[in-house]
Amino acid sequence: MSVPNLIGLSFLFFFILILVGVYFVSKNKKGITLREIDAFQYLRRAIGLSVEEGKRVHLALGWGNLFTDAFSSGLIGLNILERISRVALFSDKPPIATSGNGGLMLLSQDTIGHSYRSFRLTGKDQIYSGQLIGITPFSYAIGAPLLIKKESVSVDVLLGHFGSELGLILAASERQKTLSIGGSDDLTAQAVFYGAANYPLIGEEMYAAGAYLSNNEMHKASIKVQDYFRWGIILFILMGTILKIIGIL
Amino acid sequence: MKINVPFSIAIAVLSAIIALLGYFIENSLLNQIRSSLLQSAIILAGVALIIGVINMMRVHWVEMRGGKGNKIYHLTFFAGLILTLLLGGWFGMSNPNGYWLYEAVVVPVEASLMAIMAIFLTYLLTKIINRRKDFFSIVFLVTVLVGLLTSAPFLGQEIPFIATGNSIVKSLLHLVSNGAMRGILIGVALGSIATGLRVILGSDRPYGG
Amino acid sequence: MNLSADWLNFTMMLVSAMLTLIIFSYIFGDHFLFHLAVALFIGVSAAIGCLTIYHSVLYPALIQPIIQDPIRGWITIAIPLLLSCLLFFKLSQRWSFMGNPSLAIMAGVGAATVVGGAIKGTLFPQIGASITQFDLQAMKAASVNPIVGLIEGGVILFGTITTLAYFHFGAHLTSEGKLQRTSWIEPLSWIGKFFIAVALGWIFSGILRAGYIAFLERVRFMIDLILDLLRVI
Repeated sequence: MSVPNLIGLSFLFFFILILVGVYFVSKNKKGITLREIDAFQYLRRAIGLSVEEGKRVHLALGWGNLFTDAFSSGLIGLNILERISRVALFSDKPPIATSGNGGLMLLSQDTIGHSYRSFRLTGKDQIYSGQLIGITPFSYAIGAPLLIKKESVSVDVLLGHFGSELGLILAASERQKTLSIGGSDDLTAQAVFYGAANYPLIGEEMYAAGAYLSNNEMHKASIKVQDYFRWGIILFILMGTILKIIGIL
Repeated sequence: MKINVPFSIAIAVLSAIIALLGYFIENSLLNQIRSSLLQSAIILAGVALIIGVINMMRVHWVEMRGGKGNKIYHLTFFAGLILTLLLGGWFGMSNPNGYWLYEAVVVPVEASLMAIMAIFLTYLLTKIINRRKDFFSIVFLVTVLVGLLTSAPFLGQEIPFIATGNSIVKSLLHLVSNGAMRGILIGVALGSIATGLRVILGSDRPYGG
Repeated sequence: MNLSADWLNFTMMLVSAMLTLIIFSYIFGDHFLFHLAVALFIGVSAAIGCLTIYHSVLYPALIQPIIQDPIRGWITIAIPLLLSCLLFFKLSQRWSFMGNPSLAIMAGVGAATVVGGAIKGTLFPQIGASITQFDLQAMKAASVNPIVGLIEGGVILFGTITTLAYFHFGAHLTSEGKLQRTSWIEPLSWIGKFFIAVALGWIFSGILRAGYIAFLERVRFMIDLILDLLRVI
């Protein structure tokens, strides 16, 4: 086995070990305190309000391919979709998920369907609840605004892989006076969110969505492990830098 | 159906473990299983796209029959879809006749959308301070303006230290941006690992489980 | 059967110009023609996506093996074909669960790709690059002044560390009832947020630049077309 592969495997092993360890330890404790993130505070309020006002929450999952790193943000989107659909299930207008990828569309339909089943309810027609809007980035980005307008959406939650085309969705949100919350794994999309969304989630913040919006212990344990590993990486880089400068590495 | 749920979890976890180990362990049998798995997954992704398009057609069809929205929109969608399928299927994708609608519709629409997106983003940028009244929004706004000035002369004049070839401002922006981008990428990677592992450990189940 | 090239070119230019005008008019608001153009665009791009997937994935993987060697071909494609057929059950709300195993494979392999890709494709290369930027030998070889190189590397490293500090999630409740990170992390994260704002602003300016270029290209296309038409008339 090559050295990079061995290091990679060891890293993975320790990550899983610590994740499982933290999960079992924190399960028996009071819980983890997290810093405030405006976007999540607003999102929690907005979901409740949309149910009260009989309006719809739109969750855009982006167009990330399932077999690239981009799927990670889609997974976060799906996780949040489950939380939103559980809350908004009993409203007249259940949430609607849009995507630019066939696999993501099927996963979103399943996620909403699962929420219905968990309350022993018969789901509204799945072809509407999870829709493929367009299969290219631009066709998705210009198709989604038309849906936002048609479905009287009150909040746009955009969690997934996007590119700069995202600007078209955010512009439509602004036109409809809909508030937008979003995050992505892509740097370009993050820049667009920062400049054009009401509540942007920067970088790793998006991956904390599950921990902030639910009481899922595994998500909270993940956040804690991410904190540990982040500081571990900082230390490793600092040590590596010193060793490099003095010529040992 | 109750039997089906743990079965799906087992399939997801097993396929994930095989695919993940194949990343790090060089073993011919493991690699063979992993590549068959990946091949199947890629085929499934292709089929999922076709299913997605069928879903899209069903939505248009149901809305058209139910009188939701203007019928002409739905008909235009079907016309574009069917005509392209017929032309592309008959002439082949490498023949200009088969590719005609792509050149005539997709290319200009995408270029035009890119263009109007710049207008929209400029407008949204001007409202950033209304949306978030904080110091960092001002930093963002100033950087965007300086970034634009570094690429082209302002009213025909090159601004000293900003727009000249390898200006100090440009170099500084590069350095600061590189540092932050690296930090963001490492953070995203950490988040991705945790997210993927939750699926592999069966904690998150986005597949009807 | 070949359509006339001139006729094709002319029609293509005309359709392109009309679509460009319609899309540009969206700046002033939504309207009937814009909806039509979008519907056409979505339909055409969906069809192109299906054709591309058929030619590049489905035909070589599911049909070609049978044409080349029917017996071996059927054996090779049996499992992917079965999984693909099961996935079609997802179109029915009642029978949707039949497609769960296929979807589980996609999600499982996808999750593994996320983890493997993040470790080998992002994390390790980025950590490596953070350290190797201080390689004095490489600086000498590239005729870079070591002091300048170290300062530049230092700024980048400082940006990376403070940005990472910004992401720290763990916090504690202060005496004023506010949730805050540990006192030494707070200033680091403030600097990190500054770095992030600059980086994202820099990327945003690049997006705007690309958009303005596309805008000028479209305007130029329209002017050229009008001039060409005037010449013909």
